Amino acid sequence: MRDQAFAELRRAALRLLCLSMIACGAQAHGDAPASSRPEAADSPPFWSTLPAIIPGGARAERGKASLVAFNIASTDLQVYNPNQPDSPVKQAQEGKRWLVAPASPDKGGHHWLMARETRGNETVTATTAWTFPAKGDAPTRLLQQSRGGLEITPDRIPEHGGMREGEDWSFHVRFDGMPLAGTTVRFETEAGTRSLVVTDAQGIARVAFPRDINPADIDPQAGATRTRKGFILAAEHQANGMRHLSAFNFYYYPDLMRERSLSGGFGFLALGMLLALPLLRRKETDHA
Amino acid sequence: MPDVLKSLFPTLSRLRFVVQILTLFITVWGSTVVGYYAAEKISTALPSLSCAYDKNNGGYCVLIPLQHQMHHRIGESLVKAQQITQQVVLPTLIALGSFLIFFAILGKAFCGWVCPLGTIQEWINKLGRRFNRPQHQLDNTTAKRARPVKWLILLGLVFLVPILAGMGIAPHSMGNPYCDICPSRIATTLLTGDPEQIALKQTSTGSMILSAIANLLTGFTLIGALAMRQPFCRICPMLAMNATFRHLSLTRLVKIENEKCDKCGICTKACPMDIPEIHHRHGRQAFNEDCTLCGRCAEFCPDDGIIQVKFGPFALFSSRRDYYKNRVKVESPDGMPKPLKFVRKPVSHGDAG
Repeated sequence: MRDQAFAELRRAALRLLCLSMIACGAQAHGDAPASSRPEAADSPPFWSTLPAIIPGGARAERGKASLVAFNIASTDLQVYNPNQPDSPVKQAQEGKRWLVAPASPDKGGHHWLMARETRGNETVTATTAWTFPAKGDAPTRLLQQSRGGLEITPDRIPEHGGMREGEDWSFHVRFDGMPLAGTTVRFETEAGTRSLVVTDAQGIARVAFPRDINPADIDPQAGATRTRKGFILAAEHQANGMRHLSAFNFYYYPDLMRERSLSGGFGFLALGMLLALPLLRRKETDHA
Repeated sequence: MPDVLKSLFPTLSRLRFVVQILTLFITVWGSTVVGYYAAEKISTALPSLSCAYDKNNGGYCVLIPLQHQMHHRIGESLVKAQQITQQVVLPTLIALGSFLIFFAILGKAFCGWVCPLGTIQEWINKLGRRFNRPQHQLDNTTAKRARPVKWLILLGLVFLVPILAGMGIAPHSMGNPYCDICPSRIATTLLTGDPEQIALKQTSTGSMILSAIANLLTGFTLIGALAMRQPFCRICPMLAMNATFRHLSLTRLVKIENEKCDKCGICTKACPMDIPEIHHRHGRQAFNEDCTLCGRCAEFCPDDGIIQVKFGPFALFSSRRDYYKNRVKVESPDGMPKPLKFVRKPVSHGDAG
């Protein structure tokens, strides 16, 4: 009777497995979920005077992003996708926002977004990265590619839980594709940190994300994995009588260890080990 | 070429050991070779417990995207009563293909040759044997009683609970329940020096309970493996997933009927999963759901051609009497290594003086 029940259970499992395998698929896990969900239309005043591209405007449908710009007057947004980084798509504003979608539904991944404004002898650039749910090519070539002018690009776009407090991340500062050594980069966070970083000989700015997120700002329901704050890195450069200001804005998350206990974890690990200790006793018995 | 391979890998177990070293590197630290991004991984739907929480891995386990899909696609779609559109089905089928291709080729060998948690348990067991720890084997009844557990974990934690979380019936924090208790997440991330996953989650009561279960299971598995072969594999939902499709795979175990089997039974002693069917059955029934295709039954079968590991029509390894005789000189079927013996070369009387 027990064998019969087990056989029934196995048949049910096979049916459910087949049905769900048809209806689902294997997809990369670890995309920063918050970056694919636009924020509410009425966003508060921006926290920095630096140019930035952030979610805003009316909520877009799944698979699309509604974005607005702050501190930069540009009607066009250049969208670079990882699958064809040499062929950007120019997105025009709809109202005061850009509605951005991948070039095709099955090709998503990490995109690079750039808005540029020229005001007399000054060029202002705002850039950010946006991740669409569908799988796309790795953004390695996308990040290495020069788009002209002053650029700040992260060494890599995070996939495993995002940039976090306490972590060190590297950013490349380049002008017309050439690294800028000894350049001062401004680092500002939504939580209030204001600091300066100087690029090294390879034009790399190494940023240590501060633990500046107010614990009260961490959503008690969602936790540290789904609470984020913005940051901006900005640099200036003079060339050929032009002043260039370029900014890269993105998000960082609270340190996961804020809501985790290492001692508690090791405690339960030790308890599990303790429970297994009787198995190591010298007396040999077979399990009944 | 075959002679070169035979000298390099005198036994199937030696070959599997070398393969396990390579696959452990790839599954735990493989991003140093393949790249950091998901698009660069070997696969995001591997049929083994290669953990996506390990930031350095070379490929993800299929159970993570399955739970993700149950939670975010199926569960939420059931609530919204959405039609499954081309945007869901087409990319889903394309992505699913990679899992099926991997599985169709290697099948259950992902368990015995690739899975990092399986490898870790096996190596810990070897350590336990070297330190002369008593070994525990499950008898036929107990082995069969343990089998439903992996199916319950697969159905419950990989499918049902994430669907319920997507429907809003279970808390959102329960969207990944199997990953939250999986020892491979803790073991592989510890191997990369990342303490985040072993730390106890305190976001919510549910998260804390699951996190505690994970650490308990991991601790039990790490010590239990000293005295028992593959303790976690007995209840692993990936074993159940792989068991579902095992007869579709090109790589499989084949046993032909032999009248001498009744008086033998060495294959079950050699089997790290204590499978009685390899002894008492033949044909498809001998290739049991608990099999990890380690090949030990074929290595320790004392008769020619009775048990084979086959790839399609080709026999990759076949039991042989002379192989068995050499094999048992080094290791007993239940895995106990034989002590090394140093025998002085006898001096012939013609050489004296």
